[in-house]
Amino acid sequence: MTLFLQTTLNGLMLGGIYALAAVGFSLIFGVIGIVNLTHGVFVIAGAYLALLFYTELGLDPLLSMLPVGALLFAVGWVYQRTIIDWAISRASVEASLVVTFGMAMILRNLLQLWFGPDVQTITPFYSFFSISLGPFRVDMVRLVALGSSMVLLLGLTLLLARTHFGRAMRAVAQQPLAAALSGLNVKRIHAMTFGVSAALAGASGAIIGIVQPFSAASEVAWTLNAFMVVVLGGVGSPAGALVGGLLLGLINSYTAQYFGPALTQAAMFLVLVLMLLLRPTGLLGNPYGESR
Amino acid sequence: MAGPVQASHLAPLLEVRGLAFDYGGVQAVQDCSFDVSNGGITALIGGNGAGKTTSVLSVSGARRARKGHIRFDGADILGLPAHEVVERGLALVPEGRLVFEQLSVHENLLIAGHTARSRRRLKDNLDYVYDRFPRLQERRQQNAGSLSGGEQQMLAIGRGLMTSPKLLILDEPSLGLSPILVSTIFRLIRDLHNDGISILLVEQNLHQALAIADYAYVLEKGRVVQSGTGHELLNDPKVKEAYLGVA
Amino acid sequence: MQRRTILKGGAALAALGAMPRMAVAQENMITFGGSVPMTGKAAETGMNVLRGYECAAKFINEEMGGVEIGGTTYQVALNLFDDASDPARASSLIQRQVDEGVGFFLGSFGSAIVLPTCAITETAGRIMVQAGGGSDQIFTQGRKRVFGIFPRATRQFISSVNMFKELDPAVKTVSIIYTNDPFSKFQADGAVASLAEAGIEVLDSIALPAEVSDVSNVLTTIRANTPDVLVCTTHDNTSILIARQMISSQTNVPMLYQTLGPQTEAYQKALGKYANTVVAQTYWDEAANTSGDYFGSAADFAAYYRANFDRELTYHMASGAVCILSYLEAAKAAGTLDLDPVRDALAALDFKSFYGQVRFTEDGDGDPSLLGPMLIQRQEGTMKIISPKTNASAEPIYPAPLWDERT
Repeated sequence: MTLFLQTTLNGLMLGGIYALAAVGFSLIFGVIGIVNLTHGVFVIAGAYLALLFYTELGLDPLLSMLPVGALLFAVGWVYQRTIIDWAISRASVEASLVVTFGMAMILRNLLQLWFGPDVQTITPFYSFFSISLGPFRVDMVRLVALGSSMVLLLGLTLLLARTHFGRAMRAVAQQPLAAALSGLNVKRIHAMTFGVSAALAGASGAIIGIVQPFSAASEVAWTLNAFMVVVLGGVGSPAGALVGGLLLGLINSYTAQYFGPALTQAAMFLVLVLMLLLRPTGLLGNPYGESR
Repeated sequence: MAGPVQASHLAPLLEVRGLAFDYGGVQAVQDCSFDVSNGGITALIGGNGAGKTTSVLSVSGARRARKGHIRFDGADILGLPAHEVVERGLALVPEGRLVFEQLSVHENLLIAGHTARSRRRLKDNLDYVYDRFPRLQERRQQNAGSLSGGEQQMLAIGRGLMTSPKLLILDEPSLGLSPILVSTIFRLIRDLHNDGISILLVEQNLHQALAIADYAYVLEKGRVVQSGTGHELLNDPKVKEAYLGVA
Repeated sequence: MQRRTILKGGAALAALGAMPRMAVAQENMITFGGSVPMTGKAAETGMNVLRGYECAAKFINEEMGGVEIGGTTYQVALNLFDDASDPARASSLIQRQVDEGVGFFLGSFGSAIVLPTCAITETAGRIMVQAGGGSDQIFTQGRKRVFGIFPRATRQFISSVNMFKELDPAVKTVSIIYTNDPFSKFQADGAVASLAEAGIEVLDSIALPAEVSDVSNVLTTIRANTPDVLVCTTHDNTSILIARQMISSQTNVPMLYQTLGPQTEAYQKALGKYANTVVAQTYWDEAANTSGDYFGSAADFAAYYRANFDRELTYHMASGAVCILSYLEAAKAAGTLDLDPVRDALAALDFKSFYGQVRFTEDGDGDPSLLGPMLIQRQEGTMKIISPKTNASAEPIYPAPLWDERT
């Protein structure tokens, strides 16, 4: 029983990170309908920036989430305004799949040129601490990561529910035409959505940097994780990302403990396929409806 | 009711000249010209595919016309994106309502009430809309998707009103509604007109549209083929034959 | 007109393909073909191997003025492409070079890439000498023209077991964590076999996928069983992840032994003081008392490398460089650059170098008694050789202090 609970705990810790790393991907998919395969690059770029802030300025990754998020917001904005918008207006939304895939390859190699191919880690003082609760044990960094993820996801939830910008994003997602006729600058909202998404990806990267080693090559895994989280939880909402992320974490953890860690990826893909067959909209569905 | 003569010697609020639009080479609108008088109700009528919806989408900036002139309130607005046209005081209530289904009724209204033009009047506008549509007030926290067709139409109109328009364009507001609801909607249009809002009404429901319109244009294959006061067209034999099903 | 030029070009290419030796021997230049992961997930080590190749070529051309083979002096040239850590991409790059007539190939890094590419060169009758693939399949499928500096994976653990037996108290139980890929799995299988032979009990043998983000669950198992030695035949980043999570979850074992990872600068940076006492393998160390022609001693190689290259020196540079030395020694012995005599000379090769004595087994992999790994342990920040005893520069620290008692 202790083992089961410890395994569950491990899964939830992991899931929190998955959720935060995926929520931006989910947002762009939900609002603009683009599968942004560059997402993992934003995550890893965030990790590298946090590393720079840490080594150059001694800034803790939890604090550097702010400047990292701000920088990536700008990157995401410009990216949408230029490359994504060109791709969509000259070809189609589907074409953006190819474009983002190509960009991911280019950017991955650029990251490798700038930072080298070596594996990197961020090691703040609490990296090697853990907390014991009775028989249970939790890594400090993972707890911190889960906590920050929850705070950011809650923040995004409030942004979407309570602010004009949040309502505007949801409106643009459902009815771009009516949104424009209601006075919303749809292009601007799209760029903002990309900005927010990249900022969240960057923030999650800062956290991932303290939790596990990374290199430019790891971006592929984070795009894939984001995709799975969206399939599991549903598109476009922080709640969907949270459910999907935690579920992915639990699947990972239970499989690793009871069937062997080598099978975790097989198990994730199995669940992925089952979800696509049984409930293609994810557990929480699409909060923006089928109106696209 | 303002007569056509009176309307014609005032400068029109909206002036459309030689508008042309095609969808991938297929002409939807060609050389279409019409005026909307200040303070009146103007109707744009015609059958399916006559180019009515394309015309008003072009006017509102949601579609980019290939050529032509569009003057609104003394300024050229051709080429402006939709959200900037809204800021000039022209609101289109689109065909099919297109409410934000997963947002609450109140949120639907808030979004449109947030334009630079109308932001300062947000509270007054909300009061005005809820006053005009008590049904919406009752359901303000409900998701728009759960409303009936008639209620959604009211919400779509309400959303248009939230932008404080000088000109409200209504594209097929009676489409798919029961006869009782259709009458309600037309009564409402007259009320809005009485409150001082100019109206451009796009309709297939000719009887009622012509009955309330000061002036009307008949569109066919993307061109204006006839125009006149509502009364004139209602009694025109050609119109009767073509659209009113009277031999 | 244009069409005819293309046709002519095609004919020239076809002629080249028919006569591989010509392309190799052009203008007194020995050109080595091949691919290396310069980007992608194997890039970190791939770059190390590449620097090794470059270091040998530079030394021979600039310091020695080339090598004399059959009365002619040759310069060495490298024609290596980035395979992006992708076996499919590597295969098409190698196939193209085979078609262009390249005869001598250097290896990529990682068995997953070396295996398919050496199958291509073997089939085409070309030669590959590599220091990047230790998987048994490379050597046990009857290939005659593929040589590896490293012993095959299942034989790489023999020297480790010898050390376990010498430790005080002697090691009784071992748990193994390995990455589920051809090389790491063979290494783990080899470890299990060697340990069984020595009568050491293997408590767990746990496979990890290539991409791991959490090993909490694995460590729960390790804590429950507490082996004397935890052996990880995992990749660099997984090794760091395991160590970090062991520290934070207070998973203590008397010896943490990770075949790949602890050697790197990244590992030391990530773990700081906790990197001390972690044991790793190395196939070469600059402190080893080996020497021979070309560079001289191990220390001389290190000095030359550091004077010319920036990248942190690891054993991969040395094993990369020795691939080229092996080719040249064999060609000298054969007195020609023809493929068949060079191949026979490689099979018969036995020469002393800064890397140690180089000899291949009948199957083409490195002789485990000469080219098997040494064991190193980080002690107060620097790597010390702790086994074999003949080369040792320090006594092993065993059992290691608990994580939270380290200063």
